[in-house]
Amino acid sequence: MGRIIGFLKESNYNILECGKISLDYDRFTEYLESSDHRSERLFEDPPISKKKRIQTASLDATIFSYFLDGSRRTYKIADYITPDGRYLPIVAGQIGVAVLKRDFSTRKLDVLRDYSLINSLIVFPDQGTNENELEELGKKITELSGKVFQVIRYKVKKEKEPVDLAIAKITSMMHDLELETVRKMTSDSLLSPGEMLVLDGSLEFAKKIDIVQFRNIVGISKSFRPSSSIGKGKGRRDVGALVSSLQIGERTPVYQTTVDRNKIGMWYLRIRDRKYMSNPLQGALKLECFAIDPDEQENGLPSDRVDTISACVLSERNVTPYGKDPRWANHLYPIYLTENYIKRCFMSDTVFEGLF
Amino acid sequence: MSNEIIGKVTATERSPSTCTKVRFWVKENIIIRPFDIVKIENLSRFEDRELSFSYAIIKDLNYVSDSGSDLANYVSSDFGDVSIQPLNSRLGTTIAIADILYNDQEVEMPIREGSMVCWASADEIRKALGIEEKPDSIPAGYMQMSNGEEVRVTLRASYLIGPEAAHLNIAGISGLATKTSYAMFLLGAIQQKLSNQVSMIVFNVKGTDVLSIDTPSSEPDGTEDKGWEKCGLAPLPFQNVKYLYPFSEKRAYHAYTHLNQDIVKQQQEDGKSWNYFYDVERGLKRLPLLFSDVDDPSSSLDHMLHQLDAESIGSWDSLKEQIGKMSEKGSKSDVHIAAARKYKRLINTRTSHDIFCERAHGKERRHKLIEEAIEELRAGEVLVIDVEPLPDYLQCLVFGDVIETLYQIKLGSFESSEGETSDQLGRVIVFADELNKYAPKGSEKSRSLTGSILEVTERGRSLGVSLFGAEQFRSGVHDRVLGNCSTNVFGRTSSVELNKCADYKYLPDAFQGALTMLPQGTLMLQHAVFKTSLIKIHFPYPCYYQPKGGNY
Repeated sequence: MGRIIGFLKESNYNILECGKISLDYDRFTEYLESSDHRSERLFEDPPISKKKRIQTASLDATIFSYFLDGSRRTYKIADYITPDGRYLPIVAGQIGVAVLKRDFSTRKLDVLRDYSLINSLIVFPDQGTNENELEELGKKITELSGKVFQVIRYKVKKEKEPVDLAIAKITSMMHDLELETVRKMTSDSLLSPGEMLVLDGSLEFAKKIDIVQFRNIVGISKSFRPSSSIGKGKGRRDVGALVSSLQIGERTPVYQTTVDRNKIGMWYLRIRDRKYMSNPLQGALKLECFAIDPDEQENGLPSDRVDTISACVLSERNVTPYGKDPRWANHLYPIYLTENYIKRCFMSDTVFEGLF
Repeated sequence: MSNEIIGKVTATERSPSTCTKVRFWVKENIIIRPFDIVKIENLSRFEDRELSFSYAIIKDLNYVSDSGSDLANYVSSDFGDVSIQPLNSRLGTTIAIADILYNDQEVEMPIREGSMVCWASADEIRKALGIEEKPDSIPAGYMQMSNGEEVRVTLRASYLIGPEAAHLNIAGISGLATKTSYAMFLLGAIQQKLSNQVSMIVFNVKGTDVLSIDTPSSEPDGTEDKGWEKCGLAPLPFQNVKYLYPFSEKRAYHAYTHLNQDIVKQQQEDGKSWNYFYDVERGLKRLPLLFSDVDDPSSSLDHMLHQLDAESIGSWDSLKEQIGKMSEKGSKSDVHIAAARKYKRLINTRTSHDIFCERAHGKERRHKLIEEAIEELRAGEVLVIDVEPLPDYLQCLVFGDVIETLYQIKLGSFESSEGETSDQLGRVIVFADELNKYAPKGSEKSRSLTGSILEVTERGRSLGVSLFGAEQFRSGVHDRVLGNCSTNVFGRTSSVELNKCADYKYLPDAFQGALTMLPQGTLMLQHAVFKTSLIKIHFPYPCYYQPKGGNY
């Protein structure tokens, strides 16, 4: 097994070796999963006024059977001098998706291996590179390293940091993997209203999707931007103000947000007692569901369905990864386990960097 | 059953596998326990074989979860709400910690992460422990694995009763009828397997349990008979047994014993019991043993015995008379008068028992000197000596007399009544309970008895004399006596003793914990040829009659 970087330096590209740097530092820890889509319209049928108290669902009553999460690791491995004199980074990454299924008899979670996948990527800038050449390069790297590598390109844009663009490309590839997994689960008829999938993160994908596949999926975000506004006119308020008034077990009304003409119902739920939290937003989650049927698209999500989903999310609050993850108060344990499973499937930083 | 995979090896940065230790996680719903022996894949040293197999004994089990702290569990119950039933079970598994015993290709490489772990078969376990069947194998009980596998445990006679190594010690609290039962089980096994090579001397120090060991049990227990079968033995009482009771002038049949008189009578009628005594000639030789608990830094007793006119001592009364003269004012003896008076007093007190008498001419007293009984003992026979009714100092005298007589016979310095040296004993096993009484810790300087026992334990294996001792607390027995035992048996004990006795300190915590909870019929065994420090064994109940005590 040879080192990939040595092989790249022998290629037609002008590659400069640099120290391998992990790029996985948290730059926006509090608002990592936030979006800027506006949410003006109340989207619930029948509508509720300000907030509503929810009772915890029992194990028998919960409708969440599957939990999906995607994760990535990124490393800057080399720099590339393009023929026209640009100096751009080459970034490598590992992406993965995993699905865990609840065993209702033991309250434990098992991995669905057929729906869990890990990929390795090398991302070149699109300037001065050829897609077909890179595809061939990927095959040779795979042969050389004994590990499957896909070599792709990121689009270099003015006024954007090239490293961020490379990371965004890898993140996008991870979302593709998540969407592919959802598509496969749907086509295999795993999901139903009584066996729903919880997806870690927002449903606001910047991609074309078939929302019918998302009929039995709830997106749950651990973090959100508190300064974004929802509602309109006199009822318009910042999310932070709305959420900070919630007590444990209370949810906000559902608001509509639209992405690529797909309507999403979005609401907030507090799952931890405020008196134990270190800031007003800690312990509150953002929940999202697509409006699929014409009636939902017209009048909003049925209130009782929102209540059921909220009750099930509330019941997921225990056990917690307290002490293990700084986001413990906003974490659902099955999602935490899914995330950990993927990370443990990744090659260690030492092994991965050693390939280069 | 033996090929069922029950877990996989885990090796981490903090807890790597080593040449001697391995850890593995245990498959859900598999029940295992300390002392189970498992089989684990390892690297092969031969090109034509894919794997070798290592065998390991489980020392401890830990259950680990992904909880960061106790507080995390408190938080996970809605900050201390005891009524909360969390929807999710925490990720957790049982980790077994095991010691490597053996590898079938002598590979000593640390076992790799992810290697499969499965149950070992009975034959594999015996091989792993180093107890494959040999001509001198002695059944010593059986092990029970968690998967139901039962494994016969054997000891090597050459390491139990010499010449390679010898001596056995059994420690454990009383009341569980385990120490004596196990010793008698082992003696029974030796008699069955090596009948014509070994003679045995058994001391009865409490109750009457071993005073009818040649009579079948009156309470046959079918279940326990299976235990004998598991050990490869027949559930039979001892064969060729003789009994010695302290002589008494006034008791029925002149036997000073708690044993039911009907049994004593029957034993006398069958010609297999006698009453032991000390005439003054033999008594004088063993007199230091009578005072082994008395401090004598200036060796006054030796001086006094040296100055006695042995020719003129024909009876215990004449001995007392001569001693009395030494303690009188104006005595020519160079023994200090205070010491002489002390020994006069002691001799008068301690030789007042009926066993100190002269040989009777009639047969009804069934007189026999202990040295005569030992001289008549032959390989394959058992001599039971009842010392239970005697006070401690007389028990020490009798025990010491047996040890010294045996030693003299084995060294060829014993003169028989025919004036010839005699050794037809074969290898001799002496079993005595309450060893702490005869060889207490740190006592060799002042006690002639301890000195004799040390001599036997340190040189006995080459002479063919083995000591099987038992006591409640190992901490009370002389270190060198224990140190010379090639086989040690640990019965249930208290946590106080675990802390007090250094011998327990090297045991893993789980083993120490198990020692405080051992049920009746279960012991831990250490033997020179085992490839592990300790194994847990079961043994069957005695199959000889254990009479209830009668009246004097």
